[in-house]
Amino acid sequence: MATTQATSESLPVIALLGNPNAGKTSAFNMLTGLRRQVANYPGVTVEKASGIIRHNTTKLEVLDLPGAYSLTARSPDEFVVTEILLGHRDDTKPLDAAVVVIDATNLERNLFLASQVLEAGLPTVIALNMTDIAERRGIQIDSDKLADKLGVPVIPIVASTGKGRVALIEAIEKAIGGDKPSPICDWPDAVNQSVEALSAEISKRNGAIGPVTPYELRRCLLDANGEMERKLLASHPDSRALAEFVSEQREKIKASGHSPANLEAEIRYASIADIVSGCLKRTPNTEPTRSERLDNLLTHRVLGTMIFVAVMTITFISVFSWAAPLMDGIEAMFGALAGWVHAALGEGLLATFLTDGVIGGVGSVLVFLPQIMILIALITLLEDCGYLARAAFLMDRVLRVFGLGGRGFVPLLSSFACAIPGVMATRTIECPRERLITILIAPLMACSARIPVYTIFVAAFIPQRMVLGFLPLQGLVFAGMYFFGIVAAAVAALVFRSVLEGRAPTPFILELPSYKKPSIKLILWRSLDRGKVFIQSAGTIILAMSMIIWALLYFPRPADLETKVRGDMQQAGITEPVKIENAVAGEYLRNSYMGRVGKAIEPAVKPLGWDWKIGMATLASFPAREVVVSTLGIIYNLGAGADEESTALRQKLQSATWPDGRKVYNIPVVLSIMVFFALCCQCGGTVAVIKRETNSWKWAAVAFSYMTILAYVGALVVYQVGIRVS
Amino acid sequence: MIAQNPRTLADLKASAKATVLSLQGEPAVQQRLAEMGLTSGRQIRMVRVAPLGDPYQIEVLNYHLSLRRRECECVLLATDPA
Repeated sequence: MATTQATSESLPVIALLGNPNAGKTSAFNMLTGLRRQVANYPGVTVEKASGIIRHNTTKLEVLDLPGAYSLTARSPDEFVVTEILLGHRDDTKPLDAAVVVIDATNLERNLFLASQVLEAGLPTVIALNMTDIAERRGIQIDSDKLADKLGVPVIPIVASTGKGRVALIEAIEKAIGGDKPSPICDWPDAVNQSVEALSAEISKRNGAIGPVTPYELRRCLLDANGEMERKLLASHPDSRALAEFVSEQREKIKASGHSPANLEAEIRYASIADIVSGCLKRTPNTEPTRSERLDNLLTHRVLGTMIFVAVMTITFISVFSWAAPLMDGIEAMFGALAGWVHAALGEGLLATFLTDGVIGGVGSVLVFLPQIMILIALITLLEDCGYLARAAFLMDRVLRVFGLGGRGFVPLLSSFACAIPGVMATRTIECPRERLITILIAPLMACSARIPVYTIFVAAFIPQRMVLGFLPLQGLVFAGMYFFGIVAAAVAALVFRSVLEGRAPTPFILELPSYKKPSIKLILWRSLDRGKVFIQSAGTIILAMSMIIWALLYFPRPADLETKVRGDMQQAGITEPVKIENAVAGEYLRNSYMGRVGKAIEPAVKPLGWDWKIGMATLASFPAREVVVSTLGIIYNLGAGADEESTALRQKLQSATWPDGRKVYNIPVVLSIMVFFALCCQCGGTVAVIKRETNSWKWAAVAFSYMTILAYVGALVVYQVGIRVS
Repeated sequence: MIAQNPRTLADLKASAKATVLSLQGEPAVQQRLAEMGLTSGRQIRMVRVAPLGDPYQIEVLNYHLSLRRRECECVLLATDPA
């Protein structure tokens, strides 16, 4: 996806960097006025976001780089920031300046990244954010003095209100084309000697590597198993010899009394302490801060857990029930639109294509928007005020058993409403392995689209009686299906945990930021942004799948088929137009390509206890599982209007027979169908969103295949065991 | 009293303070911890342990950080008087 417009070709480019929680996104929004373009950098899961700064005659392109605590990179995702800073990515223009957003309430830790950026050889501006909160907490920062010591401009801003915008833009403008900053720390001789030796070694062997800056060489030496080392080795003709040389140099640094792993932090934090000593004043507080007192309550063993349960329940109920009327509204709107088109164009291929294929397809994309936008808004609210980190803190121990982390809780919980926003919400998970496992198991949670499927079969086949005198059996089966999804997800997580073990484990390092008032602006913006991303990335795929399935269900349409059905109906003395129409529709469907495929695969679904009608309805519902109900409606000559409350459909299912007269549905068959729908990845949107969030078709294919296989095997086992038991 | 084994951050009681002596374990983990401010000589405070016994909440450089027990065991503490 090319995002650079022709007009922005010649614009100066700056990049925005900062720690997570430093308010980088708010700063980006303040600078660009909310408009940004989003794509994925190829090969990694990092989002490429850019926007334009406009101020008087100034026009600058700004890249929003992912939040990071350090430029140390051990994964391709983390390496993106360094590569862009150094101008090494072909898909990104070399930068003209870097802006580091730092949190004034957490100056020293934030200056760590800033001090690294100062060595990347780019004109740099520091945006000192959240100065209002710092002031309220009694933290005084002399920004002029700080600028003096760092050798770069330091502009105090409050990104959430827009304070300091003009000053920041003017400082950036002035910095572009200006001097490169000088490093704030001195390296020990041993390191400098090793950097020189490595430089000489690389140029001696003269690989296709080009000039390597001392900064890169130092990164290579200090980051054991880091991406910089990997890159230098890969581009060198004799990578084994170079690897040996690098480890020799590391030994030399160690011999001089420095640990390569801790050296950088020791040196930087020493310089930072020195710099900060003259320009940072804290009012010493002997009593706990407001944030700490809140933590006492919110992470309390009993009260904190109760509040957690309450917050999560409210979040889940909100996504589930606030979205419902909006989704109904969208469906009604598209229904009305289809009706209108139908009325205007009458019968015929074009009208059917427009109403069922196009309008139905677009509607099936937009219907997800309410859930996505509500969930993202709630997560942003929880994240921005600081609670999400506490929720992760509370839940980490539980989820770790399954190879997940605390931050996986909210995405998994929201997947009970819909896996699409759930998968999108995994962006808050920092560890790539945990994030991937969470994404892969999220679609096993019983989402709301499974409810109509469970409802129709439970209502039609599970007897209405009480267990132990007070527990309704139907309700128990329903709850059991939810529980079944959770158990399946837990098992899948354990399997993925062992399969993906080889991937570098990321230490769990979770900042617990001080609580603050959430920014409504940020919440609304993020929610709209994610909605847009969903439509851009998943919309076309869902639409295409809907149209293909529509065509498979519609064609072929030989005219004599309809004549024959009408003739048969007349002979049978049936005159009601609705019944005749439904019979015609049913015959066309059974005769469609999908119907033929359904019949062809009957041997494959027979071991599950299914007839070809169930098989076909299941196939047709791969883009969206809830479609199975209306497809069964058409198959049984009830028209497409049949829903899970339809008694006519229940009766048809109850009385359906095999050609030899045996009943099709019995308890093992019904359980086998429900288990299949519980486990199968019948959702085009989820597949599309997994592709988008992992930036690879591979993981989308893995999710789709493992769930489909699991569903088949699960249904097979349930049926085969079921018929032997009953 | 001098502890028998080197004391690590994982042994620190809630609301107790200590000084970082050094880091141990995998270089990549050491580097991450050091970058977050856990460098030798740094004053840290154990704020609390999560209700389920893990992870831990600590204060370092005037901010709060949560680490799992495994990472806490990589942080060796100086044996302070008191």
